[in-house]
Amino acid sequence: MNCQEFWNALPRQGRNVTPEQASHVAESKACAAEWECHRSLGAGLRSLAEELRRVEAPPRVEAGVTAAFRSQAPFQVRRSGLSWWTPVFAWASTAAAMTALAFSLLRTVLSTTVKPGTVAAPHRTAQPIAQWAAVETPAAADGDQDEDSAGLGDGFIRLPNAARIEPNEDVNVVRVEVTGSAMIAMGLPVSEDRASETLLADVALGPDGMARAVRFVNDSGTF
Amino acid sequence: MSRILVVGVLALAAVAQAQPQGRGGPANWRFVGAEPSRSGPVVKNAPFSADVTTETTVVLADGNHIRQSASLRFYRDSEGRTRREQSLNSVGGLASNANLPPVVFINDPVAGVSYALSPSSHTGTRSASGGRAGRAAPSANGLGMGRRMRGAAADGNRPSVKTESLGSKTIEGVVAEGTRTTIVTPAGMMGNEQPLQTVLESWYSPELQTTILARRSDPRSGETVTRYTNITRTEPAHSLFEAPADYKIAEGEGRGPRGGVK
Repeated sequence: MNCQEFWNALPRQGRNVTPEQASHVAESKACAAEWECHRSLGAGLRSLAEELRRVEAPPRVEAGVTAAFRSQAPFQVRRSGLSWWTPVFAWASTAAAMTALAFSLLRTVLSTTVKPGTVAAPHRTAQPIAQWAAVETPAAADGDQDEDSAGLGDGFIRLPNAARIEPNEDVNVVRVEVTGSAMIAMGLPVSEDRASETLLADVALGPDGMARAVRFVNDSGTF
Repeated sequence: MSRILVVGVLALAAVAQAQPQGRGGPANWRFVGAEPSRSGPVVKNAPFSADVTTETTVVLADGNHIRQSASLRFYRDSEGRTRREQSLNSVGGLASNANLPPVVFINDPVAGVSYALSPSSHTGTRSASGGRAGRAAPSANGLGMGRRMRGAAADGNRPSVKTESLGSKTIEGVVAEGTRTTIVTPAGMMGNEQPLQTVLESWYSPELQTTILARRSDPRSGETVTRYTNITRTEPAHSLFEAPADYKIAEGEGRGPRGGVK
């Protein structure tokens, strides 16, 4: 195997090399040095990708990145005068941009943002607010002391320490975006891996203004 | 040069991404929408307005306290229209620092419509009203006391319920009749080693057809007190039960925050 064959085969081999390729690296110092550089670059990018996978791009960052790309386009590809670190930063930049865009898209899908302070219609309502006809559980209708249900049905979860909503009470609903961590702090059944996510929820308010029950909108109330 | 600029922007992006998200502030909450969803019985010929405050205090086993509160301004006219001006600073006691914008809920059973208005954005949602004619039950006090007012003997499998009259007294200038209901859940009924005692106390105004003071004490959920204060018996202005002309109103479906405006 010569140098040309070695480098031509690498893209198909991924990060591992065959015994034949390893033999060539042992024989060619130039290829060995270049190969070591590629391995370091790959390891660095994988580490960066793993790190970025757990972070989330704020909207302003995405906007800034998008604006920067637009202001610089079209890129001038120049082969001369490239430093060894240029491909490193190029790959890192691509990885960062892709990660930011992926998280941005994910947030767009999971949590549509509406301008705060408006009475608005969530345009991705996965399910309606409670079917108000089903306001009373059989146990409650029986006069039982059971207070496990919110008294609303349709996925509403009674808040800890909150009174159930009686059939003859006024109920109003406020839809909010709230972090999963806030819901966990309230004692609601949100899984830990969703603690940093923004969830869409309906908060049922009793006639006294107190929050009585919560329903998660985007996952049919189940977590 | 341009490449360096782009790389710099991306580096800043990566640094910004690594910043932890705030967990305990107003950023945790964002108001999306509101809609009146269910109306209680329509009470006619008993107009008044009042401040309604509800406070809940829970004492934990380690001595820690959880205090939650919510407040609103309530109006009702002679035709049974109601208006609730609710602060969402605490989202009904859920988060003391949520700082969401206030919301106004109007129910007009005469016109058959309900509104949820956002004064901060001058927007709103209109829905078909589901109000029902009839007398408001004394239990409509926000404390879930309604069906538990009847007496029942304990038989080991069911709680005992004892109801007693507390007589009459004037609260905030309004005569109210007091009732105390004591519910004892026998040991073992729900895994409890000792009997659980829940005390419900309500003061109902026949004139207003509203419970103006209610207290609920439960070893599991703590103590909750709802008070009507600053009660005014004059007829509220009719304009309070209409959507202001400069508000952008969208149609809802009467069952929740569907339809509406951004």
